[in-house]
Amino acid sequence: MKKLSRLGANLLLVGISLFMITTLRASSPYSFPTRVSMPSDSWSMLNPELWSPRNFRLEVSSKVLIDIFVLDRDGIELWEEQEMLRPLFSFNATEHKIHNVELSKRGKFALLIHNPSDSNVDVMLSTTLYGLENDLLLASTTMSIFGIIIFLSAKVKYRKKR
Amino acid sequence: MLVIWELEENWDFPVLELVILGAIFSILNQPIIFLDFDGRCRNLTSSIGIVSIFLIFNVGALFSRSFAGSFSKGEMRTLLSYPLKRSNVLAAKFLTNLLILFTVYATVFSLNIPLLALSPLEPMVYVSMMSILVQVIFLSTSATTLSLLIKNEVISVLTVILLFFGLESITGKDKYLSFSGRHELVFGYFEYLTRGIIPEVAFQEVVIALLFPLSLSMFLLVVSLLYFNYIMEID
Amino acid sequence: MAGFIVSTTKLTKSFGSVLALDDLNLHIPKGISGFIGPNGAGKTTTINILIGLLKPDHGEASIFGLDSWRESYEIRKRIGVLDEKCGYPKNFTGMKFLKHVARIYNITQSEKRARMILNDIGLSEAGNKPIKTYSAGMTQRLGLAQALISDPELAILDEPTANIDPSGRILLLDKIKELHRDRGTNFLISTHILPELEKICDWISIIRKGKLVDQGYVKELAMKYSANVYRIEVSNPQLLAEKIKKTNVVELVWIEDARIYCKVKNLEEFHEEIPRIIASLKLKLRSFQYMHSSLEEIYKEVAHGE
Repeated sequence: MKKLSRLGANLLLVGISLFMITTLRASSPYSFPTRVSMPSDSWSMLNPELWSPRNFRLEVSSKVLIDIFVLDRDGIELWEEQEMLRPLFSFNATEHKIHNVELSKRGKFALLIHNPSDSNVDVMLSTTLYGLENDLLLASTTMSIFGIIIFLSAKVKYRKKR
Repeated sequence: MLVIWELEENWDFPVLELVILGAIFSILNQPIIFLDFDGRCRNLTSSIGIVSIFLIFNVGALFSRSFAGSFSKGEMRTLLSYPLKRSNVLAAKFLTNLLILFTVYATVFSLNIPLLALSPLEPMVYVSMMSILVQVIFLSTSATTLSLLIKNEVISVLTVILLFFGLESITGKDKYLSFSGRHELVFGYFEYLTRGIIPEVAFQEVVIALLFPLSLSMFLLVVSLLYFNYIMEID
Repeated sequence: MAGFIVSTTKLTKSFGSVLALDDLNLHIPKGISGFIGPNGAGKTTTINILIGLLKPDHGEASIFGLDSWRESYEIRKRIGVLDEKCGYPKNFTGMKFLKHVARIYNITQSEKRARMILNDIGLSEAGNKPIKTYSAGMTQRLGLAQALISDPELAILDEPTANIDPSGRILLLDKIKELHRDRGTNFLISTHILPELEKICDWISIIRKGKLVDQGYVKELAMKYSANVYRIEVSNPQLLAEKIKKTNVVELVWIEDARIYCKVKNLEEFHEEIPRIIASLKLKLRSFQYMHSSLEEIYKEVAHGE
């Protein structure tokens, strides 16, 4: 197989295998239940986690209305250093609800919970990551397209040469 | 020149492609298990067992094809009828296969850096790669020695795969004898060094865990070289 | 031994309980030499030892005075080998393979040399095709090409004409003679096709059951193993034949195609008696010829006769 054709075929193969990997990884959604005890008028940031750019579902169960903020790495730093809020997503005044958002990037995220009420509350949260990882999907598609282009160009070039 | 010969003959389509596919499936297939951000490096080690199995198959097939296969196909006779030193032939085949295999696995493994949101300078990535390199060297030297002794491609492949597969199954998580055990030990030590994460691992244990496969590899390589150079007859 | 480029002294080699070579003392001079023997005689084992693939159990083997096991690398710089069991990298094209071989021998302009040898050997059209697509004959030619590409001092060819069509064989034998004549390349050829060998060889070594049976220049061997047959053409063959039968100098007399064949008992007396008989009968003598034994006849007598 000519070198250029082979390069194209390799890129296409890697692209296809990355796509298969993406679908395999998507077959196992992650669901993590957490319980947080919130005193009145308090803020609590859960441990930062590694999230991938997938669909994110947050199931909230609370007896009072609470605010939940999704912070990315910069948001976490800002909150920790200056107690300033710059969330990626905000779910205000939520009690029993399921929120669905789509994460656009991979990295460190944390949930910041605010209990504005004057009573203590136990909050049940369940975070679920599901669906295809967008960055992997993009990478697989890009590689596949490049692979096809290079492969076909090589074939055309070879035919012209003959 | 021998390296190019080896590359073009034994790494032709679809050999390299299958190795790349195997590496991708073994390394990237594993879901992220530790979401705790401080435990993210643990994701690096959680799937290492699967990598080991794929490596066994890859090394068994490639090295047997390169050494034992070249005997059965008569290519070794052809090579050794030219003014080539036997040691050069052995070295070229061994190093070419080893380096390509490790490069593929290391490249695919490095995709864990963005996937696990790690810094490119994260030491634990390189600790894991070092672990894989030691394992590749160990498997390669063993496969080379067995292939030179057996000289039949199919029997050589089966012997190497069954031997190492069996060894990993029997030794389980033994910290010196099995790849997973050694990796856990080395990983744990460097995690302790770099971020003070327990368990504490003694330096001597890590040295043994690394020296054991490396010294065995060196021994097997020397034995193979001496055997191939001075004793081996090709009928 | 002086003057010989290939020498073995008491060469012995066993494979388990099988004694492949038994005190073989082979000597091959410069020129085109044949190495013949029945199947299993030990020819391939001898060649394998000479090119450094096998180590002898006892004795020595040398090419150009260099030990074939210990100094194999030095020997291989000066020889080319066509081996029956050799394999070639299937994914290479013929051209690419020969270029690699040329580079191994440190030949500058490897591509030019490869192209030239492909042309010489009749493979120029197939040079850009992968070796896996070659027929058996083409593979054999490729083997010859790689054996000769370095212009070796000695080319060791094991069954060089196997799988090659008759016209190809003629081409090849002519090539061998040409190389020897123009470049001084020496050849050691092992083959079963004796008539071909007879056309080009100067020296023959015959081996049987691991032992050397005989060796020497073809003409000398022919004389040595000659059947002592003379062919006589006269105007009246029947009359002469009747007279010769009554003499004591021949073992056997027969007529074939109006020619008399005599298997001579006593050469000296035969040379005295027959001209006298012809003269007395006043017959016209057209030819009086000694029939040399062919290589096949020598081989039959020597390799199978004991």
